Amino acid sequence: MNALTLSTLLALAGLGLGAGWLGALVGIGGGVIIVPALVLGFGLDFQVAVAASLVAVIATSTTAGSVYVGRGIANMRLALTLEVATTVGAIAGGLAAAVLAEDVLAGIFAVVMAATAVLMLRGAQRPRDRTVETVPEDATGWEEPGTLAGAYIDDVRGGLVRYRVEHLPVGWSVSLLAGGVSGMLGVGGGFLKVPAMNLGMDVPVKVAAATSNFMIGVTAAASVFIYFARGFVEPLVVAPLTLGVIVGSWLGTHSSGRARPEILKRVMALILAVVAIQMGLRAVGVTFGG
Amino acid sequence: MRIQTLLRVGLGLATTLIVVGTGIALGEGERVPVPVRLAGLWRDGSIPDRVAATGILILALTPVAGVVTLIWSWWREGDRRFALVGIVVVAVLAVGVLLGHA
Repeated sequence: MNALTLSTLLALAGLGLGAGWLGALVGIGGGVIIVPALVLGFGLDFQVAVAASLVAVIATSTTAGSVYVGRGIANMRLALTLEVATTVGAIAGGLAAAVLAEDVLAGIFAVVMAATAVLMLRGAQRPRDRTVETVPEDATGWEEPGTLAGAYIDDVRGGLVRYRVEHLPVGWSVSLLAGGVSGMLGVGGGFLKVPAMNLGMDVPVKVAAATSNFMIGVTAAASVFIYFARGFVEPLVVAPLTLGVIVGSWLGTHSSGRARPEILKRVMALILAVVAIQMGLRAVGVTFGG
Repeated sequence: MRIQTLLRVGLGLATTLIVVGTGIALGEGERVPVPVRLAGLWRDGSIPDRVAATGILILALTPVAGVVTLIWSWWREGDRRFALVGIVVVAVLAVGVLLGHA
């Protein structure tokens, strides 16, 4: 990257704002948008872009987490249970990224994005009916201590929805993969964890998104220390991006209660498909801009 | 301390340092961004780089502190099973930090 100017700083903040907003809405860290934008649009090295994205993912997670956890939507016991596998994957991915060539990383990125777009679309076509119970207006969700079950307040459907987590091995397997992808590509891994929790573990999509939002911060922290230690963190690139992400995430979390999960999934699938094509072209040597 | 309070405090502190670092950098005019290593937090780059890097470090530590808070909270509630799960997560994170320096 050339010298940082006011317009570059504003562009980075704008990128963070958009990625943070969408990330908070659909339970991802925004890295699926940030990494390609930094590589393709700002001309950053892949590892520097990944490091910046990981910090942005932590910012999204922390901002959204401070809201979702308070509302009792995120299931923290489920989050840490899956994090056992995810953090192991994240460290392995972070170490692998240091030795892999950029076009290989771009190719892996493209394949993962395309697969996720398909998963998101399939999920969006199969919403699950759950019983909604009437509760007082100021009620919040909860977790059952010692188990992986709980309940949350669904603003759109107007009541309390109970759930119980199923098929934990599915969650661990996908979490290990998501961690590896996160550490290697600088994305939160939520785009894998949310569909896995929702489709594979019978977790309501809003709980899955909120739980994923907390998880991605811990996952990103596991690998960002590796990038930090190895000199891939450029603070004055990361700073405006992170500030934009924090504002965007805050806006996203405050509009999530009114959002419809089916529409969110379709929007996300479309973005992933576009990014997959861009990164796939880069992997085979076709580049745009910087 | 409740976890959402901890997340807000960590986020606020990190944001303040990042804003200050960016502000100083803007005041000094155009500059080429340089990397700051964890081990050289107060040696690499210039003052704005170091201030922003400290904010980034605090931000990175915030979710880890959140996990520690959960462990403490569940242990006090008697939910030892999930407290132990959290301890495993923190142990893996510590391994990650050590491997980063290897």
